[in-house]
Amino acid sequence: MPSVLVVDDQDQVRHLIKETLEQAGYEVEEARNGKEGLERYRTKSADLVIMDILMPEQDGLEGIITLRREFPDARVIAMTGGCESIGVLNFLDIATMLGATRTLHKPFELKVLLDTVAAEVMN
Amino acid sequence: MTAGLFLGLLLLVGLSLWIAIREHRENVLKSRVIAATNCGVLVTDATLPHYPVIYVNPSFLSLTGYAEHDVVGQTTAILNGPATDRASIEKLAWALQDGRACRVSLRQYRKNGTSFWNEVTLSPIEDRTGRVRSVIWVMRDVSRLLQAETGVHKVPSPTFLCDLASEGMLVTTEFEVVYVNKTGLKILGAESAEQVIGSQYLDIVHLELREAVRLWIGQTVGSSQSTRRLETQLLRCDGQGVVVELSVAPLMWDGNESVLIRFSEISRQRQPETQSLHGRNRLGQGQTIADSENWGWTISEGAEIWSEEHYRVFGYEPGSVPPTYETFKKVLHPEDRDRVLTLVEETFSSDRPYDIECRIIQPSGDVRFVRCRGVLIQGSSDQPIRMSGTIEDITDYRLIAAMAEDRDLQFKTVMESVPNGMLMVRQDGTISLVNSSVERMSGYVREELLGRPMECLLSARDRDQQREARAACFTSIASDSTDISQEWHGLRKDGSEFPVKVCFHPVHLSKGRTILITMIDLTAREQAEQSLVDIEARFDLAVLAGRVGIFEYDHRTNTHHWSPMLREIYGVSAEESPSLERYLELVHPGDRERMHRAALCVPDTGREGLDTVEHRLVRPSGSIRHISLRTLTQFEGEGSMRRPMRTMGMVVDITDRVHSEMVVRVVKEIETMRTLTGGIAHELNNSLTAVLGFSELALALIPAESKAHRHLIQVIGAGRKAREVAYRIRRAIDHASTYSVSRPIEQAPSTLSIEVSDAVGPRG
Repeated sequence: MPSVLVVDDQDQVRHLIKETLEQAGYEVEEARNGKEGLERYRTKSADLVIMDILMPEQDGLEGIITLRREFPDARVIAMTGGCESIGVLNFLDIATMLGATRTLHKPFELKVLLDTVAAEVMN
Repeated sequence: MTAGLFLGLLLLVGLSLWIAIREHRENVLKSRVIAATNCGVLVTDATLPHYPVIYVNPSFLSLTGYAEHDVVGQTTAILNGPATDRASIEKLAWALQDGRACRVSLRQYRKNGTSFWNEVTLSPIEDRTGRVRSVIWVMRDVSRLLQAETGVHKVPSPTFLCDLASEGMLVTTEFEVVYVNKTGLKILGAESAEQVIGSQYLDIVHLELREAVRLWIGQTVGSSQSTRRLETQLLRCDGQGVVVELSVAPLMWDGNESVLIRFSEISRQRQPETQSLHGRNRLGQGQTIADSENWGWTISEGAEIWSEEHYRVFGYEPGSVPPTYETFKKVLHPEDRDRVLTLVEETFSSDRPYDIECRIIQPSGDVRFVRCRGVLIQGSSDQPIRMSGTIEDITDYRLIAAMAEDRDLQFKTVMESVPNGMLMVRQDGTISLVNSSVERMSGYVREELLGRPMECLLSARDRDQQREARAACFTSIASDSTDISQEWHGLRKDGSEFPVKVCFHPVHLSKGRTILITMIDLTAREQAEQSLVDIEARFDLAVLAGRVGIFEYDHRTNTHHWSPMLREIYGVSAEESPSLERYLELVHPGDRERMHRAALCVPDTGREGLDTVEHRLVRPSGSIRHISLRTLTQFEGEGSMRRPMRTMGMVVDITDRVHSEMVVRVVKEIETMRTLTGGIAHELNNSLTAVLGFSELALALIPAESKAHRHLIQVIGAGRKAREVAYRIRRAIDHASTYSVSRPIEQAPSTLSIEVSDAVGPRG
C-alpha cells in the first residue's frame, strides 16, 4: 500500500486530502509544517510527500530543501492556494526547481488530486 | 774755491736738515693733534685696493670698542651692520672714487654690536702730483644730537616747521625747484607752491642777475661757505622785483643732491641795515674781524667784537648786549652748555680748533641749533694772541635735512612696502637700486644685483627687446613720452623662468637720466587666468551635460537674456525675443497664476537668496514638460532705496524625473495591492478547497434523488464559481505586475482596475 505524507497548516485541507487518499487505498500521515513533516518523514518514510508552500514555522520551499537535502530520493508534490512569487517566478515554479516533481493549485477537484498522486506513485 | 764749495754744500745739507726737522716736527704735531682729538680718526691707504686702514687714533678705538689690530688692515666696512643706510655707504664710496670730501651721518656698529649714529667726514689727502695717497676719516658719535633733534622735531613735522620760518626757503635740484615754504611763496607773490615747484630756480631771479647768481651759488655750494650771503633781486609772480638776501647750503633731498636757498626780503625788513651790513668791519672801535668770521677776541686787550650777524644769531639787536664770553655762556642751552664750554676752553690748552653743534636759547625763548667754530691764534712763543670764529644758525638746515631724511625714509618705506618689484637702472643698464620684492622674485640678494646689468633678471630671449625698450625710454625722457610696458620672461637666480610684466618709467634726477622699473610677477595672474578658463570650461560642460538653461533679467534696463539651452527646454526658437510675458505664456495654465505672483513679488521681498520652484510648461508643440526653476536676485541700495538689480536663473527639465517618481509610486501601489489580494486569494483558495472537496465526498454518500444531494450540488457549483473568480484574480495580479513596468505609467492604474474589474465581474 503506497504511503503519502501530507504537510499543510490548514487542518480542513489536510483532513480532506487524508480522507480522499485513504478512501483510494493510500496510507496517509499528516504534519502541520515543513519542520514537523521532516521529523515525521525521518520516523517513517513515505512514497510521496504533498507539501503546501505557505505555512508558519517553516514554509514549504524550505521544507522541500531540507527534505531533499537529507533524502534526495524523496518525491514531493508542491501545493498552494496563493499567487506569491519572487520576481517573475511564482512559488510553484520555484518548488519545481527545488525538486518538486508535480504541483497542485488549490482549490482542486478530488479527481485531479487522485490522478496527480496516482501518476506520481506509478512513476 | 774748495772752501766755497764746502760752505755751499754745508748750507745745502743744513737747509735739508732744517726742512726735514721742520717736517718731522709738523708730522709729530699733526699726529699729536690727531691723537688728542676727541673725534675718532682713521686713515686709509688710497693707493691700495679696498682702501685698507693704516692708522686709527685712540678716540676711534674708544668710540668703537675695537683694538688697533682689529682695524688696521681691514676696511671701514667692519663698522657697517644691518641698519646701516646703503645710500650713505654708496655716497661715501662715490666720494672715495672721485677723490673728494664728503660728510654723511649713518648708523654704524661697535665691536660689541651696539649701534651709534656716526657723522663721518671724509677728506682725501693728495700728494704733490695731485694724486690721492690717503684718506682721513673723522668720525663723531652724534647719536645724542640726533636724539635731541628728533625730540625737537618729532611734532610738528619738518615741513610744518619750515612753513613757520620767517625767511623764504626753497629747495632746488640742478634742474627744478622741488620745495618752497610759505614765507618763500609770500615773498615771491605766489598763491600756491605749484606756481614755483617744477620751474627752474633761475626763473625767479631778475633776468640781468641770473648768470651772477648762478655762478655765486655754484661757488658757495662748492666751497661749503654756508655763511656767505648775496644781495640780489628776485622776480615776483606779478613781474615786480624784490630785493633779497640769499644764503645757500648743499642738501640731500629725496636722495638727490640739492641746494637749499634761503632768502629774506631786504626791501621790507632790513633795508635800513643794508648799509651797515657792508660796514660790519668798522665795528668795535678799530677792532676788525675777517669776512669769514663773525666774532673775534683780542686777548691782550680783552676786547671782544661781534658782528651784526652774530648778534642776530643770538636773537639780540646789534649792540644791545655786551659782546662777552659771559653773554655767550648765557645763551647756550643748559643741556649743551658744559659740553660746549669744555671744548672751547680746551682750545686754549690743546691748541686745537673747535667745531661743535649745539643749541642756544634766544631771548624770545626760541631754541635754535648753531654750529660754533673757533680757533686760537698763538704768537711765536706759543702765547695766545687772539681767538676768533663763527657761529652759524643751522636750524633751518637741520629742519630741511630732517625733512629730507623724512622724505628719504618715506621713499624707502614706499619702495619696500609695494608688492611689486622696483628697481632703478642707470643709462648703461646697470642696477642702482632694488627693493626687497625684486629679491624675493628673483632669488638674488640686493648686493648681488647692485651694479649688475638688469638683463640678469630677464630670460635671454627677451634681452634684445629689453635693451630696445630701455633705449626708447631714455629717449622718451626728453619728449615726456608715456611709460613703456612689456610682458616678458623673468629669470631667477636658479635659472627658472617666470612670467613678468616690466614697466619702464623715465625719471630725470639731478644725477642725470635714469629709469624706474617696476616688475610684476604674473605667475599668480596666469594661474588665476588658467583657473578661470578651467572653471568656465567646467561650467560650460556642466551646463551642457546637465542640460541647464540659463536666463538673466536686468531690472534696471528691463532686458532679458535666454541661453540656447533654455530656448531648447522651452521649445522656442533663437529668433524669438525673450520676455517675462512670453515665459508666462509658456507656463502651464494650471501653474501660471502661481508663477506670475512669484515673478511680481521679487522686487518686494528685498531678500537675496536662492529660490526654487517647480512648475509645468507647455511647449509651442503642445508637449508638457516639468521644469525646475532656481532663481537668485541681486539688489542694490539700502533701506527705501533698495532696488532689484539683476535676477539670474537656472532651468532644468525634470520631466523624466517626475515620470520616474510616478512609476515608482504606481509600482509601490501595485505591490501593496498584489500583496493584499494575494493574501485574500490564498485564504479563499484554502477554504474553497475544503468546501469543494468535502462537498464532493459528502455527495458520494447521499442518495442522488435526495434533497440534500441537490443542495450539495448547488454548494459545489457556487464553490467552483468562487474558485474561478479566485483564479482570475490571481491571473490579473500576475499580469499587472509585469504590465506596469512595460507600459506608460499614465495607463497603469486604469489597466489594473480594468483587469481586477474583469476578474470580479460587474458589481451588483
